[in-house]
Amino acid sequence: MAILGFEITGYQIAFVVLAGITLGSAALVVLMPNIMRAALFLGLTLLGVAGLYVLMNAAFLAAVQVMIYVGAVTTMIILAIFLSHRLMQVGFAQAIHNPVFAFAAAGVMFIFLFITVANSLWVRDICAPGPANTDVGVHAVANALLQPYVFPFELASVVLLVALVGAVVIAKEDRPGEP
Amino acid sequence: MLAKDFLAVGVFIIVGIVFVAVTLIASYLFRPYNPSGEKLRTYECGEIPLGPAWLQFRVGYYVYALIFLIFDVEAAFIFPWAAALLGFSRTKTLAVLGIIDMVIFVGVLALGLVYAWKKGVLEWK
Amino acid sequence: MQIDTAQLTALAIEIAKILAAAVCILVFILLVVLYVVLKLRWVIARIQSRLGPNRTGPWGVLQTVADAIKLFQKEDIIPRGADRWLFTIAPAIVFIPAYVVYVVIPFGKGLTVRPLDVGVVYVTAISSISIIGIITAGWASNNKWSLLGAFRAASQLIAFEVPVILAMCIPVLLSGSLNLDVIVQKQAGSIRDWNLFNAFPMCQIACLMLLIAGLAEANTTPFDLMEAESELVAGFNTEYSGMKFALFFLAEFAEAFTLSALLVTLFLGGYNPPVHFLGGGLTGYWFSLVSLVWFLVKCWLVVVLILWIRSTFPRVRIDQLMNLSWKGLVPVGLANLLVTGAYVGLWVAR
Repeated sequence: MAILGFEITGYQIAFVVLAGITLGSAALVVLMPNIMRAALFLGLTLLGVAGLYVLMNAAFLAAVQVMIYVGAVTTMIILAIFLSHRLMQVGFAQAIHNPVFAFAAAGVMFIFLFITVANSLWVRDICAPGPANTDVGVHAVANALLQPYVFPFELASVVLLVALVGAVVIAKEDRPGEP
Repeated sequence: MLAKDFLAVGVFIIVGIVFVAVTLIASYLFRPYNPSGEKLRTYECGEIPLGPAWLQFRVGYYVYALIFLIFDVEAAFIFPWAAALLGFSRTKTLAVLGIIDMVIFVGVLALGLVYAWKKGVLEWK
Repeated sequence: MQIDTAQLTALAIEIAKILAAAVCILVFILLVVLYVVLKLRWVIARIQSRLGPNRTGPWGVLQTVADAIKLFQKEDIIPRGADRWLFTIAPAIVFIPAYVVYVVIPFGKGLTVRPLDVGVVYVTAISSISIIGIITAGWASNNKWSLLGAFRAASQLIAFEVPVILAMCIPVLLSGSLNLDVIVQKQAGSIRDWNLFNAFPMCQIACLMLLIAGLAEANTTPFDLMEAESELVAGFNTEYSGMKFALFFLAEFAEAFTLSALLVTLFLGGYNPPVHFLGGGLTGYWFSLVSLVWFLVKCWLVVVLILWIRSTFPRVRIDQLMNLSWKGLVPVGLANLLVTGAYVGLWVAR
């Protein structure tokens, strides 16, 4: 389908829609005055990212993205909101207390991400039909984990163990008398 | 695995949204609307609600969520391993390698679960 | 530039096919929920020596239809101080994932909407989104019971998601695929090829784990702590009425049917007939039809089992519930996973 002289494919339409959802809801996460709504838009952002993974033919990564980021991380963030009394005031404004530091931090983050993205090896024309579609299926992931990346794979379990121990230490500071 | 297969997921999401919207709008056209002060009060066993509904929760809930998150990440590694082990075990060496990898991985995490158990975090208070 | 009409038409036809399937499944879910609720009331009535619904229509079959119509025209009350937008969106966040999961359910040979290669992960991923909707409902209601119920629901759902995942990994290990269709095809043949009668005792443990954890995920007695009428009024949906309540109700029973469909698919041979001469020799459309019938018959049996459990067991306490998951099912599931892994790597693959 050609619009204004540009060749438009279904993939491009899907990309524009998903990127729009991702970026739009990401902006709303920052702009929402109500923190619960902001958290829900965060979930939508992460869902949009999963959609973008699907477009890159990384279906397994997309499913894991939904399982971990939407299902677990967003839930955890919402539960964390409930832990803090002050955050639950509905009119909570996401004020920037120190604009200089905030912009510096955002700028550093942006430069870091930009360098990473610019230096990545992107598979061109992944949307083109034919053999360009590389195998990024579950079995490829598993074979990579079990052979060349076996050490990082085992290291991941140690990282998870550290996180678990950290969670236990937080829990020990429980105050009595709360529901 | 082509991204095109997920077209169905997109269509299902849209049909789901349309269904919810249509039922809510259709029932809006049929249902009565006459709110009153008593009716709109939040339900608290017939008593007049006291204080804000947003209670302060204890940190225990959050810890369960954290432990869940850790096991969810673990599942992200277990799923591909489970799917590939049968095909991966072409020779006995590879099979043993694949099994030992997961024994270490799960063993380290089980250590964490035992630690949390011994520290009494898994106790619902 | 020219418009590639052939490609565009092909895409349009594909979307139209999926749309037709999506509407069929939506209608199917609505009918199943109407039936399961009716069956639930009949089963519980029989077990409690009551008559149950028998007045509306012949044998009372129109009872749930009447209930649905009643709910449809009930006033929609949004309590004072509630977050109106989130209060309205929350039922959608709970219902839509429960519906979207059906994309990968193999109803019969060639009767899956899309047999995705990541099927099992897809099911766990999509159904975990509902938790967010439940917490949203509790928060938006501005009611202490709702919020407490939502918190309990969240703790319960996340606690039992891990055992569900660990149990589902056992059939995945045995068939070497996450694709639900492939898992079903590996169980083709007769009843002896079903995963339930395979790899003793790992598969039986996994099946029982999936049943227990799935019951907890679907919020049915003995694990209906989210509702717990005697403790929490009605849980996270205390303030809901009319159609929004109906959507929560619909999602809950759709999830219960998903559980039985998963049990059938992963352990009870899916759509395969139990013995060869009852349809195993058929091909083409006839086998699709017969396999659909077998799938529905097996699902019906599992649904009746769930309703039987629901009407006979008392509700567990919340601390017992959490212990059951984190101190019982999770360690057993991890051990089961490793043993099955060793069995598959050293025995099945040889």
